[in-house]
Amino acid sequence: MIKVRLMQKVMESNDAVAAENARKLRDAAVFSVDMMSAPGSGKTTILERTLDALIPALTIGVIQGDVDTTRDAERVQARGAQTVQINTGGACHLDAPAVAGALEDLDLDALDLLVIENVGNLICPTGFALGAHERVMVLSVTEGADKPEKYPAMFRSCSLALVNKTDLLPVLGLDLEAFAEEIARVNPDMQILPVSALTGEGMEDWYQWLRDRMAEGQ
Amino acid sequence: MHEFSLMGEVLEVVRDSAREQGIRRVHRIQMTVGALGCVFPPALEQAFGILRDGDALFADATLEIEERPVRVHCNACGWSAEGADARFLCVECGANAVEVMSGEELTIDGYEGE
Repeated sequence: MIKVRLMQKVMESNDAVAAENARKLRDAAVFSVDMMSAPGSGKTTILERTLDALIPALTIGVIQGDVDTTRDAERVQARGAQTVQINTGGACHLDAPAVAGALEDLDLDALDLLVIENVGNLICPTGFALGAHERVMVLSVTEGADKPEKYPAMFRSCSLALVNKTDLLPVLGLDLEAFAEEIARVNPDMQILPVSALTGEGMEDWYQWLRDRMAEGQ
Repeated sequence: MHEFSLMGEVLEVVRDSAREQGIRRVHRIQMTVGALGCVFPPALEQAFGILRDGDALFADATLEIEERPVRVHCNACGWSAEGADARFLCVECGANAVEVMSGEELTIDGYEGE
């Protein structure tokens, strides 16, 4: 009988590819964000508005992760973004090798910003680093303020929360404070920006957040 | 069900190591899984049962998972808590100085075979 001690992280090979993705993006001076959320939070609508606001001042690429269909990819491609679709074929998350393949299909030297729209899921994508500079979470107010405490790992892995659909707060009888408090309980360092992708309220703060991060990187 | 891809990765790591060590049958695989790692141990076990099927290297193998609760410690006032009592903002002094001491583990600790 042989006992072998490994003490190896299960994510080690994914993390190695993620580090390689990060190096490629850095070398090409592309700032990148990995966007996470539950299904139906409004990620793609936020993205559409963002592309409308920032193109053509910026050249933007989008990697669209979806279990199936090219519907979201078609929506963002129509906005003038370089778009690569990854259909995970049932898998509940993107991983670093899938993103590495998608990076091959993008003209990185032409890009200023890359948005990776992850599969809508608050659990599975959490542990899979992709190599993006920042992880951004979209939480829509219709999901309720209890989500941070129910999915702490996801909220702790992101640096910014876009609290979306704020136009619905009066209908729901909720206020933003409740969301801010709940988020602070699981990730006190998380920055929060309230937005409505529908009305456009707050979206300028998000664009500025992106511009500031991009400027820091240069 | 990302546990399937994780378990597949675990078996590949063990397979590569077993090849290097000249091990032909693995008897036991040991892992540590933290409660904050978004990994559900029963789903890992289920994936293990399916993935090892028909694989001579793992035919007799068992999977042992050591589960680690979330343990937190406040670096400002010394408060600490575990499991369901764990919070990420100190409940004693309110400081944003809580450190996660355990609960984020997801490791292949080792294996036995011959």
